[in-house]
This record gives sequence, structure tokens and C-alpha cells, in this order.
Amino acid sequence: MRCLLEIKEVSKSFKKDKRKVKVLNDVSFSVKKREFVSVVGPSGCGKSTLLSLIAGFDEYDEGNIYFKGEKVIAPSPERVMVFQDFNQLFPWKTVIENVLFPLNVNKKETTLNERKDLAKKYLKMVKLEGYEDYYPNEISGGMKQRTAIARALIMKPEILLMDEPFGSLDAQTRMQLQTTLIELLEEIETTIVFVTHDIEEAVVLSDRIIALGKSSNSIKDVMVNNLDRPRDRLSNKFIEKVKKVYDKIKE
Amino acid sequence: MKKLRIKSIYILLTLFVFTLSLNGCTSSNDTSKNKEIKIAEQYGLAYAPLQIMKDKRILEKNLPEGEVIWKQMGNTAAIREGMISNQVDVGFMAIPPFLIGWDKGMDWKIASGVSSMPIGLVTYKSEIKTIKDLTSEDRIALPQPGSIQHIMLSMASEKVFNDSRKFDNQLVTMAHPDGMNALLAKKDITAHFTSPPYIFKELDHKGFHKVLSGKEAMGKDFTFIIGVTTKAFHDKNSKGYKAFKKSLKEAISFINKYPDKAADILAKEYDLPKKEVLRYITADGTVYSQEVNGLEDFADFMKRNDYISKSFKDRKEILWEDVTDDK
Amino acid sequence: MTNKFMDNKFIIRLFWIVILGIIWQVIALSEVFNLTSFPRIETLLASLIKDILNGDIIIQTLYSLSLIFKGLMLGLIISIILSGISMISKVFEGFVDTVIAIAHPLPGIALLPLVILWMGIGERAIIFIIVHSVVWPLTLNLLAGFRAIPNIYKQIGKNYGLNSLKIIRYILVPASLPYFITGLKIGWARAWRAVISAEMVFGAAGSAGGLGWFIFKKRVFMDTSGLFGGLIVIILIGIMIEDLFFDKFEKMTIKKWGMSI
Repeated sequence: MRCLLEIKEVSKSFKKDKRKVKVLNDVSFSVKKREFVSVVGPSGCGKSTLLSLIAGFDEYDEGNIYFKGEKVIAPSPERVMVFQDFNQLFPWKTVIENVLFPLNVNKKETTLNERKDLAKKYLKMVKLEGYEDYYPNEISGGMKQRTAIARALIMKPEILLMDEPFGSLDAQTRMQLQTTLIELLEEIETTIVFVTHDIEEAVVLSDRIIALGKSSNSIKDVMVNNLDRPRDRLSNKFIEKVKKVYDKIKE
Repeated sequence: MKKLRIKSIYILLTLFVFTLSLNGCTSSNDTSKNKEIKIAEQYGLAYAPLQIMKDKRILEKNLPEGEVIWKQMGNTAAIREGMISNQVDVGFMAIPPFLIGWDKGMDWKIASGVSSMPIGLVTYKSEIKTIKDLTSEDRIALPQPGSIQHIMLSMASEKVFNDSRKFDNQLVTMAHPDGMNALLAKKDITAHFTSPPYIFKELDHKGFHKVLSGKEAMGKDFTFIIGVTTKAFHDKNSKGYKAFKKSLKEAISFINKYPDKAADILAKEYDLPKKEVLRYITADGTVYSQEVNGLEDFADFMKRNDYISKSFKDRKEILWEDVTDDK
Repeated sequence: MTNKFMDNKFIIRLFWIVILGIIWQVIALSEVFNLTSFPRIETLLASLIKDILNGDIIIQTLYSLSLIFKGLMLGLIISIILSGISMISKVFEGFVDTVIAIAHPLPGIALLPLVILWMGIGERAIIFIIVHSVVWPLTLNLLAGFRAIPNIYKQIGKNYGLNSLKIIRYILVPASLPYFITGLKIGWARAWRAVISAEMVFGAAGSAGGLGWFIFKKRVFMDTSGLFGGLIVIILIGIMIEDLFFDKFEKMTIKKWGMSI
């Protein structure tokens, strides 16, 4: 089976104070359709940069990124990003208007009512029924991230790129959103690349975990995670898995 | 608690305003006790006797113990406001602005005439021969509404059109030098109602001609610039008042007796060639005199057209006791 | 909650206006100052009502407001163009920046003699002065607004397949609204001062000379209470625009959205 996303020997450096600082060094991996891949690693290991290269926001220096066999050169609605920042919603739009935004500006051949029904459906999926007409500053951080996920999903992207989307949430809300995301995966067919520094989160969500190292700025290990779903965070197998991943990225 | 705070702020504010007002009051009292004479004049040949007085230090000679402070001001309104607030003791202006102030209750009277001048309305447009030829498109520059220039234009339009306010919406307020430059530019301004030396300079240009003279508007000769003093100055500093009048008389007779010497002094003051100054101060219609002419004519017209609400019955209401009567 | 606050603010305003009025009246009645220069409140109001009834002050005010409206619109368009090209081109950014550095500190009224030379007297010159007072603060604020937009918004725009024009229209413009409103407020305040001062220098331009000319006429005819009438209208319009128009507009938009700066 051909891979949806292929990352081949990608390197990237930034200029900082006139010095070149390498953030990604010779990174290669691939992601299959409908796969959930997490990228874990300490801060500064380049995991967010990697995601932004896949999204097409940034250019890479060396190597290649292929999406559906074609080189990634620019952002595209097929690869939609969900950010960590609560500000990713437009404050001047209500929850439903935010979700409708990508559809409205792209003028898909649907009526406004059809689009609204679709937006309501996605808001229901992320458990935001009844909050359609709230403005972002009137809802909690968790609800903002739910809205952002609905807005990304309504585009029916081939691949969803999630850059620590639950990183700014409190532990309890984070778990609730993880549960919602797992439930979503049963309803929609999408591939996900999920960046996080929370190992437990990676183990609970993903099929495969890629560990990035900070000193090498490259892949230290790729681990298959085939624990049975639904995953029980208190089971021995789960705790063992977490420990295993933790050992890998420990430096 | 809150109420108390509001109350105390209120009291503080009242006190503050009162202290301010009291300060204003005491300082003005102080200056009138002083032996200062504060004189405000404007720019132009009509004020020539004052330049002579200043240059030859005539007032200082007649009032050795006093201190003379000269102020040159941009317009009559400023002089009037200075006199209301006691910053000016003696002010020079035309009769109409004086009458407006008197009508509004200002405690002041005329101390002396200074000059009569050939003022008039000048244009460059050859097709404009009289004010009848001015269209509603033509803009007329003059110092300000209520000035003698404005009143004379209104007098003429009352005579010609039976409508003294006919040109009121076509006026452009400009100081004499600005008005002259605007007229010479032949752009926005069609006509300029002005006085010497500007009127002479404008008429020296080819094609520029007089549409209306002050004498035509008024129907007779009139005093252009008068000297006015506040009651406070007149009553409390009678020595200063007398010295001032004596000095003005000397200055005027100096110009009339020695126009050549006067022109020397004035040429320096106005930064003009002496020959020109001599021509201006000896021109037809230029008269330096302490007489005051045309009071009734101005007052009647201004009362009739609501520029002032009352007229005077007795000249003593607006002239100090020692002022020369006109013929 | 919001309504209560609005009421409170209104009551506070009214309270202090009444207090100031009382202080005024006390000073006037004490006759510390000449009644001609410090008239009593009833004289002021009578004179204002007279000028309202004969229509003079209304015509002059409307004329001044129409000039401001024209100037503001023109200034708005120029500001949008200037800040727009600054965002697109680095070269222009330097140019616009330099022009602002030169022109911004110049009071409009100081330019007046030059403006008269260039464009003559009358409406065009006054509008020029208004545009000058509006354009620079507005452009500065628009630029600040554009620069303050989180990068993430632009990324989202690109991600959802918007072209540059659509990004400006749908994202940059609404996102910079708080700065835009601040700029407009400053611009309005400056334009209002500029128009009054410019009108006081010029004569009647056409059929009306504006509120500044109204005040000037009151001055030269020594109608002090009429002069205060003009000042009261200036104050009322200022309060109306600030408290009612801008406040309402902010409450409907950036305050509701939690965007105020």
C-alpha cells in the first residue's frame, strides 16, 4: 500500500543571531492512510517545525516531503492544521461562523443552509451543541479547541495536522478532549499527525509513535502502538508502554 | 463614604475656581495702580503718529515717572479683549469696532481722533466698475466682519441695493498684507477692502483700480482711526491720560509740520523707501488730526442694521470731556 | 450588566455637568468678572436657543460636519492605500514611514499659509487640512494593527486556500479593527479641531463658513454668549460622537469580541 505522506531525509535550520541553528536533521518517516501518528520529544526537538513543514507553512532546506506522491510546496486545504493557540479562532466570528468560515470563503457549491447544517453536525461531533452563537471570548479554552477541530474537519482534509492542540488545557479538560478525538476517529476517515510532549497522550491516541531527540534533532525511534482500543490508562500494559516511550526519549 | 468623597471634591473644585478668579482680580487691580501705560496699536500708516511718538519718546518726555508699554496687535478684536481684561489701557481702532464694544457694555470712551485715510475697495477685474458689477461668485477680502471696511461695504450696498448684508456671505477674513497678496495673485480674491499703505501698493499695479472709496460709501469725510481709553485708566491715571493726549497732539503736529522728517522716521519703522512714505502721508485724503468725524453716521447706520442695539443721544456718552468736537 | 454601566456613565456625566454649571453660575452671579465676558447660564442658553431657532448655528454646524465627513472619507481611503502598500512592499514601507515622520508632527493650522498658496482659500483648503490631520494617525494605527495580527491568522488563511486579497478582506481587515477604531477616534478628534481652527481663519466659504466662522463672527461682534453657544455645540457634538457613536460601535464590535487593545 502506498503511503499518503512520505518524509524523506528532511533537514531544516533557522538563522538565529547570524548563526545557523539546525532544528531538523535528516528526518525520514511515512504515514499511511487512516493512520494516527504521534510525534513526541522534548521542547526544542523540532517537532512543531516538522508539522509546519508538512503543512507547507515553511520551506525545508534538504530532502523531500511527498503528499499523495507530490512534493509539498505550499499550504493546502487537504492538509489542515489545528494549533495549540486558543487565538486560532477569529474573535469577530461566533462559534458557528468560525466553523463555516472555510466553507464560505471557498464557495463550495452548496447553499448556505446546507453549509450551516454541516457545521452544526460537526459542532455536535465535538460536543458543542448549543454554543453555536457564542463568541470565542465567551467560551472556555477547551471549547475553543473543540471549535478549531470542527473547523478543520469540516474541510474534510486528507490529513489533519495537530500541533499540541491540548497543550494549554488543564489535565481534566485535556482528557475530555482526547476522548472526544478518539470517538471522532470512529466517525470520520482521516489521517492524523499529532505533535505532543505528553507521552501518555501519544500512547492513548496513536497507532505509531515517533520519538524525536533534542540533541540529534532527528528520529530516535519509531514505535508501533497496538494496544487494544479503548485504551485503559490504568492497565499495566498501558503504563508499561508509556514507560517504554519515556525511556526512548530520555537523554 | 463615597458621598463624602464627592462632596470634598466639589468643595475643592469650587475653592480652586475661586482662587483663580480672585487672582485674576487682584492682578488687574495691581496694574492700574502702577504708573504703566499699556498702549495697543495695529500696523499701517493710519497709526503713523504713534510710530513718531514711540520713536521720539514723546510720551516718556511728557510723563517721566511712567512706564510706557507698546503692544502691536493683529486685529481689533484682540485689542478690545485686551482692554476688557485690563491688559491694555489705550487702544487704537476704527469707529465701528468701538461702537460694538460700547454697545456691549464696555466701559470706555474715545480720547482722540488720530487719522483719516483714503480707504477703499480695489479690484483687478476691468469689468468691475462699481459694486453693482460684483457677482455672487466674487470673493471680497477684508480684515473681519464688523470692521470699518465691512461696515463701509455694507453702507454702500445699502445705498445701491437697499440690502446692507448683500455681500456678507462672500467675505473672506484676511489681514491687510495677506489680503493684498491674495488680490495680487488674482486667484481667489476679486476685491480687497483695504487701507494705506496697502491700497497704494495695490493701485500701483497695472489694471488695479478703486471700485469704491470710503468717502463714497459714507457720503462725507470721516475719521478712520481713533484712540480709546478705558474708564479705569481715564479715572485712575488722569496724569497719564493727559500726558498721552498731549503726546499724541505733538506727534500729529510733527507729521503735519515736518512731513519730510516724519517720513525719515516712518520709512525706518515700516521698512519702506522714504519717497514712498512721503507720498503716502501727504496723499489726498490722508489727514492726521485729533478731530473725530462721522460718529453719528456710523452709529445711525449700525443701529438701523442691527450691528448695535442702541445709539447715543449725547456725544458725551462716548467721548471723554476734553475731546475736540467735529464740525 | 452592560446596560447598567452605560446608565451609570450617563448619570456620572450628567452629575458633573450640573456641578460645573452650578460653579459657573455662582462665579457669574458673583460678578467677579464682567458679565459681558462671563455671562450667566440663562443668558448663554437663551442665546443658544435663539441661534438654533434662526437656524444659523444648525446650518454652520452641518456645514462643518459635512466638511469633516468628506475629509475623513478621503483620509480613510488614503490611509488604507498607504498602509496597504506598506504591508506589501518594504520599499514603500520606508517611504510611508518617512512621510509620516515628516508630516505627522506638523499641526494642520501651521500648514494653512502654505495650503492657501497651493490651493487657494475655501473648502478645498479646509478639506486638505482635515485630511492632513486624519491621514497620519490613522495610517500609523492601521500599520500597527496589521503588524499586531498574529501570524497564525495568515497561516490559517493560507491553509484554507485563501489568496492574498481574500486574506486581507476576510482576515487582516477585521483583525485590525481595534487599531482602526483607535485611529479613527484620534483622526476624528484632530479633524474636528482642525476644521474649527481653519474656519476661524477663513471667511465664509460659499453660503456658510462653518462653526468656526460662527464663533469668529460672535467674537468680532462681541457677542460673548453667542460665542459660548458655539462652544457648547462643539462640546455636545464631541460628547455625542465619543460617547454615543464610538462607544456604541465599540460595544457592538471589539468589546463584544474581547478584542479591545
